[in-house]
Amino acid sequence: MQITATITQQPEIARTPPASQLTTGVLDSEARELSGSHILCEALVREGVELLYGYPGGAIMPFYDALTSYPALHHVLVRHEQGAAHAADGYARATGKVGVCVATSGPGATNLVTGLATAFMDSTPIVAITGQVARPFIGRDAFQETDVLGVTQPITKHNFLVPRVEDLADIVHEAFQLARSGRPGPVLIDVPKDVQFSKTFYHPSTPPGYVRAKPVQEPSPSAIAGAAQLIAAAQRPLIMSGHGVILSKAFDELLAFAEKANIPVITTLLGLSAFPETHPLAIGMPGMHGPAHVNRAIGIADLVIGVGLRFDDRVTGKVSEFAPRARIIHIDIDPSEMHKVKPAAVPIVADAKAALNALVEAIEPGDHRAWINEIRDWEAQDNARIAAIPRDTTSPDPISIIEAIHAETQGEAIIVTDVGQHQMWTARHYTWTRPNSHITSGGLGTMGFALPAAMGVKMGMPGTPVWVVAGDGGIQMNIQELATLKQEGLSIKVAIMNNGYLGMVRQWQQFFHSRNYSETPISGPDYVQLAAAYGLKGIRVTKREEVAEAVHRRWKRRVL
Amino acid sequence: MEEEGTVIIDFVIESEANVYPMVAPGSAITNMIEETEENAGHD
Repeated sequence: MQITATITQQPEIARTPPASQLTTGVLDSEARELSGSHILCEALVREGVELLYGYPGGAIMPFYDALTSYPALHHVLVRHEQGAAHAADGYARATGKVGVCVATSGPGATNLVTGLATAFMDSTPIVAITGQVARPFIGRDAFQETDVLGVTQPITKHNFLVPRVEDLADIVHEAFQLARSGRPGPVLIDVPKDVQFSKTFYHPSTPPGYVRAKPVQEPSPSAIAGAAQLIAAAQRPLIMSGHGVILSKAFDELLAFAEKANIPVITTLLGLSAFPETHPLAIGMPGMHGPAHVNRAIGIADLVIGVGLRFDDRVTGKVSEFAPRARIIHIDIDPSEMHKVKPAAVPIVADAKAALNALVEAIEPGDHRAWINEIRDWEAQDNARIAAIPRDTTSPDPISIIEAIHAETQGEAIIVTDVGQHQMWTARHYTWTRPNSHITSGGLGTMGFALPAAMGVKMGMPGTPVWVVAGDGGIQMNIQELATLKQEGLSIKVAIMNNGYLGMVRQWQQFFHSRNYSETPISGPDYVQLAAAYGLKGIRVTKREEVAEAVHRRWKRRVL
Repeated sequence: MEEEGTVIIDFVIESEANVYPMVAPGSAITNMIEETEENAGHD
């Protein structure tokens, strides 16, 4: 699909430099004449890139030609470009580094789109490199030409078309700076094929030519003082912790603030694992599938301190009735989030870590034990009522599966979920204690995310157990990446919650569409045989008593 | 050297298990559909 031979005339075609001129990942300070494709590799090495996920094709072939001279850059050949974007996303979420994905022009580039949109919605730092047809052919409907800048403009933090080989290195460095700074996000670099061939002098010691304005990191003292006043006056306060706490690695700061203020902590879907759920102040997840006691607490709270979140509609429900008695303190590094959904009494534009540190200094110790006990009483009543409901005990129960995975991993694994019912069961019933151990597509809700994202997670955190939990719908969306997992020799456990339905859509049809189960029953392959076809191991579990053993089982095999 | 490799576990779960509670889209989050004996699912 991505092989093209239509462009036969290339201006300024450069020969591959002799091996003596290549750095092969070792930077030196002397300027050398290199082709654009080699400069791209040099700049990636200089940015500390070790892993790239991609798929070659016509317009990106010069880059792939140069890549073989850079053993420091480990390229992972995915089986679909969407997998490359999700893998880069998973790598970035797990490590905090910038993930990199590569594709050719046209269909290669457009196949990245869902992954870029996923990263954009969840503020993940990715740099995507796409080949483009040669400059003389741009705008002429050349083979595999797509205006990828136009396509990705709304779903990237920024994108670049490299106009000249002389600009390439600076653009790469600025792209990485943009992706990782402030509110992180995906940045795309579109490199015309003739720019990749063109030669210029590369100066590895030259700093990037320009950097955009640095985002605000430190909170305003007056805002912190205002927040401290509201916190001191509150009787029923709540902390609502979002993804920004994880991106900022503000785990200790959140804990210190919550404990000093003695305020219960809610964690959003993307905020899960920012605060240990075994802590007495942890009360759970809010919103559409949050436990009742959390949503009730929000309903009567008099102060909500939102940290690193954007008041997503799955959290707020009907906005006018969300936290109707509460004043809002909103901490976020992105000023455009202030008052966007919920007006804030005190907006604090700052990095979550810096803002929480300042709040810890500014507040007096609090005592909200009565409020916490009230919430715990609701929780206990709800749990007792739910436990009394008779239910089927023969088939594997989703909650017992998640609890078995937690028991097996002791909370030390990184769990990557797809999107749907299993995502909510996992969010609710895995006890999150390890910081940044929960990875999912929250904003875009991308089915097919989990398997390729877990590949990036595992390669970024090779010493950590990684589990995928997915439904039988989503797992089929990028199941081709099993071949990549096999190719890379990665060890990941993939738990499929197989109910023969697109379960969450079916659930909505049950409640809101008169049980008209339109196109939600879904068949799938024999996953055990499918695993074998990819050279992997598989097992089917049909009885509840088999769950724990299946989760615990080891599949050791001898390798060279 | 031994390693495990990627493993798939196909859990065949009840076909109509639901996630509870659930808030209807556009509703207040305090207006929850909770699990009862009549709609018993798995949350």
